[in-house]
Amino acid sequence: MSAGGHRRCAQVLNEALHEVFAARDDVDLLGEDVLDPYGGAFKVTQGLSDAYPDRVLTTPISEASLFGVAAGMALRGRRPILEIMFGDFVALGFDQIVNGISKFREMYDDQVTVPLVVRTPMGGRRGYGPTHSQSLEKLLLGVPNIVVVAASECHDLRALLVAAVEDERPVFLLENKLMYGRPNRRPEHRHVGEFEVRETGGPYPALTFSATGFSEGSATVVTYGGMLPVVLDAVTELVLEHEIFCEVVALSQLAPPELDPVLESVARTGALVTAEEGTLTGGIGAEIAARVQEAAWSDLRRPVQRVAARDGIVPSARPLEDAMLPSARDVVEAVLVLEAVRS
Amino acid sequence: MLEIVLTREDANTEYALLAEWLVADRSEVEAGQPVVVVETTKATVEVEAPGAGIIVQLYEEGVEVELGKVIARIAESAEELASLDVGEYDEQPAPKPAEGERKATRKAVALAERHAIDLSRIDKRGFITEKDVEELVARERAAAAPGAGSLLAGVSTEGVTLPASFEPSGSEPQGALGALDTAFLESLRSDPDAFRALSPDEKVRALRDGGAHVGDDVELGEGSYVVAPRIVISDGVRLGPRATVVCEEVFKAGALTSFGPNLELRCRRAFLGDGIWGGRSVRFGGGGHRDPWAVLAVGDLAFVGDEVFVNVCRPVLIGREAYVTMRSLIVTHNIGHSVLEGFENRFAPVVVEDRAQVGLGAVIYAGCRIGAEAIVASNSYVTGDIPSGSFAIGVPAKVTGKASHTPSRSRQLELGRRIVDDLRELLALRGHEVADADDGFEIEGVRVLFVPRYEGGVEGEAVVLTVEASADPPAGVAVLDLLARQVHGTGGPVLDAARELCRKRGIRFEPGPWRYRSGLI
Amino acid sequence: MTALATLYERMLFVRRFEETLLDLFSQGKLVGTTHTYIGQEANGVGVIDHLDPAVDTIFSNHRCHGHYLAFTDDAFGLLSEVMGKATGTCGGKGGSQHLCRGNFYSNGVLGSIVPVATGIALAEKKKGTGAVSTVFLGDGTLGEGVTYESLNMASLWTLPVLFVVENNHYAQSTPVELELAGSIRARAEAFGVETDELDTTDVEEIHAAAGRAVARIRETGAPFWLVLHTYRFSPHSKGDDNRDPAEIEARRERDPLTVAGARLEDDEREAIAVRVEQRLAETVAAAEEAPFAEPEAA
Repeated sequence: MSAGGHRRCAQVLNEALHEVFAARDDVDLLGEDVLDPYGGAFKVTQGLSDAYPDRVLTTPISEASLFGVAAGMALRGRRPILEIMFGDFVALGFDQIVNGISKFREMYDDQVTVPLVVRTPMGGRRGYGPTHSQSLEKLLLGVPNIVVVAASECHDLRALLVAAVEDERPVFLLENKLMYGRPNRRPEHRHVGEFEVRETGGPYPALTFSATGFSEGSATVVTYGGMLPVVLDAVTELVLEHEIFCEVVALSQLAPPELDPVLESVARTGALVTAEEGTLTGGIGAEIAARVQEAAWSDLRRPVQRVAARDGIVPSARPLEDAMLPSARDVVEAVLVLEAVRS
Repeated sequence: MLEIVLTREDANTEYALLAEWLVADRSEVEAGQPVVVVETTKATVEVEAPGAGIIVQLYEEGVEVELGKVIARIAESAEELASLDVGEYDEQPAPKPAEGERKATRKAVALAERHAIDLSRIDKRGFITEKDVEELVARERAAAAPGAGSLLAGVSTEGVTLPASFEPSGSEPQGALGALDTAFLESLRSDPDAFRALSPDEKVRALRDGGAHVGDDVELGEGSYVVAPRIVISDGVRLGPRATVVCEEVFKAGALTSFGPNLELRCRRAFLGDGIWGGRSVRFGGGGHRDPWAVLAVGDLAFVGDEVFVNVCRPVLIGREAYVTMRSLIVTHNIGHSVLEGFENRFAPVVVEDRAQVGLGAVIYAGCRIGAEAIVASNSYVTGDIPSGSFAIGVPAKVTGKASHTPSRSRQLELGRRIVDDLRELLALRGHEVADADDGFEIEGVRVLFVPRYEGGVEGEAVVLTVEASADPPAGVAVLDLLARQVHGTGGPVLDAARELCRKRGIRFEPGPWRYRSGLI
Repeated sequence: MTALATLYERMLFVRRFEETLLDLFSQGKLVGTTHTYIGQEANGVGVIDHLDPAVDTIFSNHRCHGHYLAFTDDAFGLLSEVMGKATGTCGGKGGSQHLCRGNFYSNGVLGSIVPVATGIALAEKKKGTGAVSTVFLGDGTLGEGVTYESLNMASLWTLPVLFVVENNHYAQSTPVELELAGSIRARAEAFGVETDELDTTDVEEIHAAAGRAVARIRETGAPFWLVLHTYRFSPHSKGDDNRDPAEIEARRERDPLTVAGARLEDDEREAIAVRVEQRLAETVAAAEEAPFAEPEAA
């Protein structure tokens, strides 16, 4: 149907939703504009309300409450999937996330669970401007007791969604606006393009990419979500232009941090670059850098480099947006700096 | 002519699937007739013909088409249909390059080009690297007759402006310019002392007579000795006393290049550019200087400090206006224990790109490349590549920042003015009488002034510093364009003094940036 | 025992329990803070008598002790929770404001609970349990925007939510006149939600009105907005009371215990008091005995 024989990410997610609705009748979906024929702003819920009219609920524009409604449903044995049209709007739900969803299970001494899934797209590069383009996952990362999962175009999106629905914990499944229309580039014969790919087990696996059969590498670039294609472009450029080989670790589980694949890769490369689309300060790269140096100081031969968006707004005009968001060039330069300080 | 365009109606969709053509290509269609089914993530829609005519389809069924593209044209007349046939119909969308199509690295491509190797011969999953090409070349070399091959193989000259006289490795000599006749060459080799004993003028004459190309105003110092099968020495070259130049193939030195006493230059092929300034006791040579890869190239206007040592058993390329300062060391091989016991055995070229600086006493290890305009701080030990424009320091050298930052225009003007002020202060300290003048000062009847933009209008004897010269000065006025690093007009000791101070600020005027009197200071 | 006597006994137990809490607080035996319900007992006791703890749910707020006791009758769990004991209803993790037992929940952020109660109603409706989801709010919670988002959704989707608004006239220290505009009742009416409004401390009146409200919800499946004007005699939490003592004294004349107690025989009232004191003493003794909550061994 589409480029390279892969189906588009939005389509894969859509089919996965149909699959979980067919498999379990305790799953509900709530969100704005999710009914057919519109099928959601990014069309991920298409066909769902026609097939399951009683279990797909289109809602008022009340995100602050919707998180609570979903929490209430989850407390009482349903498994709601809440679609938030833009990741930016998660900000409206932060009271529910911080003071309810993430707390109920532990503060009620494990008497309850809150098995809800929040699906929402993050990311810019579409000119949507400051309030529809952000990558706010770092704000969620600081909230204990929730699972933050970032889907990338190389992950098994069906498996991620199914795992999120099956999870007894609250799961934020972060999608990406650009990803939806792109092919879901799953490894074929353990390869994506020129890169060999290793995939960890568990519900939310990490993918590690290497162009040298995991035998040598100048640095590990850890990334996730919509930054993965940017990073793959960058490491491809590093190979083609400089013959510098990097490993790439594409996390899906951002919280709680699960960094074994990163540590394994750093043990081979001795250097780490973090790449995220969100703003730099207090970002996911900072958390990863801190944990990697705690766990693998002896493996690190060079300082950790962080690539992220400038601490500011995501402007609408394309050149301004491009200047603000981290690019493949930024990743290339971060690696070149590491090369320069190679000891 | 009518067009059927896939319209974009939804901010979140960029591609649509061309699901089905409802009419045959080149069939007649009516206005309003549904002709194609298009599927977006949002909906499946039938698109109607905007008018009657013959439809010419530009895409196949089952193809993803970017929204906004023309997917078909409708010819309303035979002429239009004919024009589509000859011209636009050929404008089929190019198929997207298959994933991974460009999978050879730049180095691999360059090396393959140098060796005229078709990369498709390398059958490999993943990227094709320089090493893959090298291995193929080695296999072919082993198979073919042995030969020197490309001496610069694998050394990128990007970022390095080589001297104009440089001969690409492996190429034929540029004519026979400077080729020595065999008997003379033999006599030079067999009796160096006889040549050393000649006076400077006699040396020049002897070389010319023996077939060497030696320009005007060339000075070969007392006790110096030059030998190579081909020798090309341009105008104004000076080699100080007790120089020893021994090249196995060729020695070329560009105009106005000079070295202080005790130069020792031993390698296979040496190409020195124009206007190079070399200090005293500079030594190019060391182990392996007769190796086929012992190629030395030093770009125009480069600076080679006192007691610099450059080992040349593999190519060493020093770029234009590079600084290799006093007592720094460039090595192209190491020395040590057995490779069979796992010790490193390294032989690799070194490149110092244009305008890079190697600080006092720094060591550049075999295989390193100092990027253009990078700075290596004094006493650093460089073991890897230093990116262009960066500042590296330490043992081992690490990049700690940038070598420069671009000053604003107003800052440039301020710095230009300050040179005039500093010159005035310096001249006063030297005991010269200086007096106030507009935009500067006056000394010995010559005004020295700074103007942001020189457009003429300065009369009498004057030296004008500016960052933009847009007029030629009249007689008596010399204009120093600080940004273009050009001198317009001529002048005496005051001009020389200004040039000298500018040089101390890193502003070297061409030509001959190193060689003028320091004037009054 | 008459229905009134039962209600009275529950109210008295809540009252004495909380007075005891204030004593224990003064003795430094409580963890953190506590928000007492003293003066408002008729509301919780009157409403909750119509709910079935096995089916219906309650989401309460920071001032939740009265609701909790009326719904679960778990005095020991509550007391040991606020004393930081391992035997607490949430193992000492929640403390005074964060309780959970069976179908009872409470949380400490105003407004936060209203959408959750709405979601609970949505889930129960989908499951077809017939449960009523009750949420207790105060006048202060009317300042939180999510309250109105939830009213909208509960009405829009016909959800069985009983909104009980206990207007005790003070949001912490701020009198209602300084924090609330317009009509409390009309707020819900604007969303097409049925309402009732009482200004009384008479538990029998409240009991009757709540009975009508719960019956309407069970009948229609639609939300109901019950406004109860009330008064708290105790401070917001502890030692933070700036109200005019005369105002409080005047209100004490309408103490729900006095109002209801006057309708009981003296000997019955005394028997109830004895039982309440005895149970309370046992509860306190047991809670004092219970082990403190400890972190799990690493």
